[in-house]
Amino acid sequence: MISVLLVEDDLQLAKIVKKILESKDYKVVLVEDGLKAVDEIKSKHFDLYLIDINIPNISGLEVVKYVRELYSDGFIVMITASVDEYYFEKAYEYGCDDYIKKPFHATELEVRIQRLLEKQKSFSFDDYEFSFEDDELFKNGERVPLRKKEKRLLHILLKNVNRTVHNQKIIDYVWEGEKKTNYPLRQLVNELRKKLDKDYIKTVVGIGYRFEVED
Amino acid sequence: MKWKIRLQKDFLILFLIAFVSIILYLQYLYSKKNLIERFKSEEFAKTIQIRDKFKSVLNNAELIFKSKLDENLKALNSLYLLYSNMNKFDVDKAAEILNKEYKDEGYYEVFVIDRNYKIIKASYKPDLGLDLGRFPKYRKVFEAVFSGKKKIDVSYLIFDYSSFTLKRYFLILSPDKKYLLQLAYVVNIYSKLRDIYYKLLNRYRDLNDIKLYFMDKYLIYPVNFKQRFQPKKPLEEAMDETAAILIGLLKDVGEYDKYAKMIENRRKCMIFEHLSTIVLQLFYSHNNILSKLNLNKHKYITYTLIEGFFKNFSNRLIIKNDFSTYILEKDIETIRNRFLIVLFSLGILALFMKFLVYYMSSKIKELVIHMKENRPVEKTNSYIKEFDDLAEAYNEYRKRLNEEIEKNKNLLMENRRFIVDTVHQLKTPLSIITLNSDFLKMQIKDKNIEETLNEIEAAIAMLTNSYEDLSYLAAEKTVEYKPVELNLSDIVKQRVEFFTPLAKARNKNIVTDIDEGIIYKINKVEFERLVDNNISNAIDYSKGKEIKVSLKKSDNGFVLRVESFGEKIKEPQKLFEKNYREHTHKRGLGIGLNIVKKICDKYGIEYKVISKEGKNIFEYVFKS
Repeated sequence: MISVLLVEDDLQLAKIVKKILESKDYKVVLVEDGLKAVDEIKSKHFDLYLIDINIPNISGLEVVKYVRELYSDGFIVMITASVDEYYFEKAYEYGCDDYIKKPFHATELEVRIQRLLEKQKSFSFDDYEFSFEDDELFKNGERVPLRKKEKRLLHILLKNVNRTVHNQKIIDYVWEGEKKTNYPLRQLVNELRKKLDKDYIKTVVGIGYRFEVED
Repeated sequence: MKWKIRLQKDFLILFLIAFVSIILYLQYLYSKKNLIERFKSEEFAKTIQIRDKFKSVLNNAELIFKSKLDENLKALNSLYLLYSNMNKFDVDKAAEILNKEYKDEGYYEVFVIDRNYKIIKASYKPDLGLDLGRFPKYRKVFEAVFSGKKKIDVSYLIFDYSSFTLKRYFLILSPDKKYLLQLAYVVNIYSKLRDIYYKLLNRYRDLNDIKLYFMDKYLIYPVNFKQRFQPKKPLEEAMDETAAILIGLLKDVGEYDKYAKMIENRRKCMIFEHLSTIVLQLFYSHNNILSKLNLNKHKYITYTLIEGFFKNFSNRLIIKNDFSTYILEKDIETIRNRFLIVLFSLGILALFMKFLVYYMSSKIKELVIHMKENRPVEKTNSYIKEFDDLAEAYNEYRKRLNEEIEKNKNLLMENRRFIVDTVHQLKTPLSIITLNSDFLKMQIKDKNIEETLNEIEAAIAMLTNSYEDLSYLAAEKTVEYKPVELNLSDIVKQRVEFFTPLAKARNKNIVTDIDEGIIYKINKVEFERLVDNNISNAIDYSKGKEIKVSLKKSDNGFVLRVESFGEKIKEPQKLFEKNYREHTHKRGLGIGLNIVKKICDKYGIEYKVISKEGKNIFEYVFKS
């Protein structure tokens, strides 16, 4: 069952959104302000975050930032008014995945969530398709042989496509908590680069790596 | 057009000044001519007066001879007696006695002529020893007196130009019959002429000089008032002098060119043969007065002629008057200066006018600049009260206007804030209604209720369209709608889907004809506004059932078309204006198509309305 954190201060709106999502078999946690949202986020990871941009105590934007600081996966959808264009530019920068403009239909909300969840299953770029379910990479339908660690590296980079991923975060994910004095991350990245047609992986010196794909 | 008018104005002023200047100049020329004419006529009168004065001297002399004839005869008688009484006849003594006895204007000279017609004694010494027998005319007379045929001979008046004396000779046989006694009665004209000469010079201040010339048949002799007796000149020299005087005269009166050839050939003596003819012809053709004004030489020279005096028509006296023109020139200069002063004043006046106009226009310009820049005019003293008043009035007006503008701005801002707030207030309830209606529709499968829900949904679509229009306008000033590449095919489909419940509720059917994969760089909100307003209008105003929405690729882009059946649109071009409504009975916001127009203008989308055969087509051409 897919878990949803709904952050919405208008109770009526929150109630009906919750009702609709629950009718579609989502598990929904509802909070009315930023502070409570942060508490929830701290204690638990959700598959989907539905955040009104304009909420009390801590702003929607700050909440987005907070989510992304803790988790690289999980989709974030902002609920916004059309006039708040400036904010959702910022919101994208902080790592939100989509937005929905008030007023909206139930189907619109469903379609957007559905699209994101579809996206979660695989990622396509140029001739390639990467499946997040079994970490396999296909080029024009043909499997590209990758080592296990390369697959995990590609997984975390593509999850955060076009965003810089910190070295420590990559290490934690690829080596799955394995304790080592030295992690050969740079070597691993170079090996992966050789197996791809283009130089997709950009080094952000001293910080981490970014997988760059043109929209 | 403006510069033309200005040019014409300047040209007109210039023309006016030129015209007045010409008038003034003509006036000046006319005055000058008048002055000269007056001067000439004055000098003309003087010339005639001078001639008359000299003529009167000559006439007077003649008169004296007439009146003294008896006395002259008495004197002759006295001479006769003296000759008898004197032992040895002394002509000087005899002359002295006679002159003492008959003292008057003239005087007597005594000569003794012998049988050989030679003067053997003379009180007038130059004639002593003169052989009169050479002149046959005289010999005849002498013979008559000697022979006793004629007792006394009285001669004609004889003018001696060399001494300028007029003489009459009386002849009588001496008592001893040996000699002829000749008595000459002499009147000195020279001194009288000289007196007149100086008197005239004195009287006429502008008279530089007068010159007299005596002219006989062949020669001209100048009269010298400084020195009476001139040494007798050889003929050659006299001829040269005559030629010089004639040339001088011709040049003075501007007639030299006519006679130049003749004079240059004077060696042939032509000039002397024709001298009197030339001179007289000249005088006769000019009414006896020759004149020439020469302002360069500051001279006005006149010539007059006295002829035929002393009973001899070949006696001629030419009088040359040399007048100074300084007074005339001074007068001319005065009027010329007056003309120049007036002209100068006119120029100054024109310049002053120009300056005044410039000054005024610069003041106005300054005011206009202040108006354009919406600045108050500083308090200045422009010397023209009206300008100061105008500036002050402008300042006052500007202040009030700016206050009004500020007030209006505030009102407008309040209005906008009101709309923004309203939009904000509507947003959440509209969402709640929409979502609850959607939820109900999901839950309830009852046909009746579903119909009601469709009606609600249709109303929500209408409300949403109006809300989105307002929202777009409210955010217009604060939000920048950035274009991104969008799949318009998908969006049009989705918008049609959005309006389908509304169309159904209104018993209408939207048909689509959409080419796949049309990509265009535009802002999503704006493209949605464009599509939504066209679809909602078609639903609102169409009379037929079918509404057709098409998005088709064309040669260099693609075309969005919304077609419906309805009343003919009366003024298609006005549809896109703010607050214009074709159907006055239907109330609406009247902003939808105006928003569409703004968006089209922003992206360079061509829009067109075709209303024919009961069909209304809204067409938008996107160029790629």
